[in-house]
Amino acid sequence: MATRAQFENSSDIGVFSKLTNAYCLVAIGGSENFYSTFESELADHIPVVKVSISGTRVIGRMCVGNKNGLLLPNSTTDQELLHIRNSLPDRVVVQRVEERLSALGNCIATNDYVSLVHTDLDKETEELVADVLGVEVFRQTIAGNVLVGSYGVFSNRGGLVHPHTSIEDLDELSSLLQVPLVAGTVNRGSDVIGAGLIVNDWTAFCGLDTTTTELSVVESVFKLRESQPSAIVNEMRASLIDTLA
Amino acid sequence: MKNKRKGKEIASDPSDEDDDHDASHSSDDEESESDENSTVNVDFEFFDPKPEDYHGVKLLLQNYLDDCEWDLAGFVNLILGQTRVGTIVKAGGDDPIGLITALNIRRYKELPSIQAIRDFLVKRAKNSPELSKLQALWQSDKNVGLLVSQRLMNVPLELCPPLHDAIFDEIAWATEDEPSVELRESFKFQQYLIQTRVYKEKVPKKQPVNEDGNFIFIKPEDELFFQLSSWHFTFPVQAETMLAHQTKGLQLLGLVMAVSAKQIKAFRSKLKGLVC
Repeated sequence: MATRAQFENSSDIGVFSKLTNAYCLVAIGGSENFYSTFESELADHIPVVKVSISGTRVIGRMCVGNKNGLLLPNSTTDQELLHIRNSLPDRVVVQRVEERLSALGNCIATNDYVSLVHTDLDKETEELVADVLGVEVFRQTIAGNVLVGSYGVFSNRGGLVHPHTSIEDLDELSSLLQVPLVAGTVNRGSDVIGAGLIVNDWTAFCGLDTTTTELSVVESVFKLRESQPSAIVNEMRASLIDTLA
Repeated sequence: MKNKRKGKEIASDPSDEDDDHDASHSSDDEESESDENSTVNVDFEFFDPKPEDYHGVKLLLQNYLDDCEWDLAGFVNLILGQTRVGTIVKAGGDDPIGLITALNIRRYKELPSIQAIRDFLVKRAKNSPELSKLQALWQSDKNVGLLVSQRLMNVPLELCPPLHDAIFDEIAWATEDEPSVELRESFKFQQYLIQTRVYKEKVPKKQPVNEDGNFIFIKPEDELFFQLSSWHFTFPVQAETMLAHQTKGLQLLGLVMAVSAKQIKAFRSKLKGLVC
């Protein structure tokens, strides 16, 4: 199910929150409305944690994570790091990264199996992404743009990318990620998908400006219409061969 | 009766050839950089509100209700939906740099956005002697127009007379051109309610607080509205402005005024006098 939300009158909820299959991070300081929108959908299944990163509220763009781990920029303070580590499940590895491109959420787009990273990302960071997040890493651009985390959002079931992505790029990315992809917009025509949309395998949240058409595209490409949280959280992804058999 | 549109018809772009809107008034404007002797020509164009202007208008109205969380999206859609009365100003690009419109409070009173505005203003008027007048205005069955006017900081003064001519002319034409009697009546405003921002010098606590006067008006027409207003009140404002360093010693206040429709003619002539 996809829900609309807003953070202090801003539709850019992807800037102020981060959603994975194992946890949800939310910025401090939004009204309780924002927090309770997430809690009502998620609290029964995964922890919803209020955090800040280096004193800012733009946590969605600063960090990147999946069910295996979470990467934080080097500007994260020790107290913040400790708070996050304590609040997340033990199997989630929380790691601070020394990386010049510190807005990790803009530079890296990931699901539980594959990651796309900014073409200029350090080699060490790439290895850390592969280790901590437990993913296969690809350096890619989306519609010619290096900020893959800003212009593409994907889960284990589907992905939404910048509207100007060509068919060839869509095919290439789709074969790398092994999920169906669609080029589209959120928040009434905005092409910055990462700012307007957060998604995991059973639910998604879009900015309040998102039109009904955009919302239905999100629900269909991420296969949210009949999902049940418990089934997704616990299961392993079936390999392609199983579906052919 | 057909809509009478006077004023210069500028050479419109091919992309603007559209039956739905017309580029009506426009004013050529010269801004001179006195140091470098260079002149920048800017054409300000007036358009009817269109759905495409959504994001720009939303940005202009971001702080309309200070830091309150309310149905801003609904309010913007309301403004864009009223194409006959309302003007969006653009400076040669696609992005709105200014907006003016008048919304009949009674006509839209069921909408959550209008109710949010009412609740916000009533709450801010709690300590003011004008509270009862404000509440009476919201509950009255007279036609009260909420005049919403917002633009970027550095839009030149010369724009004000055409801008206000546009809105008051459109209101007058709407009383003749709207399809139903009810709609025509709804634009016969008897009062206008205006919410705007002003600066006031911060007084040291020992001196008595002087409510009236000594306002520094951000928009020049607000001063004229203030002089012609029936009543007004101010309230403190939380949201920060960009000019913090330039406005040291000044406090930003919200100002709400009610102006009788009979004063509009005087307002328009005074405004022209201010510019020339």
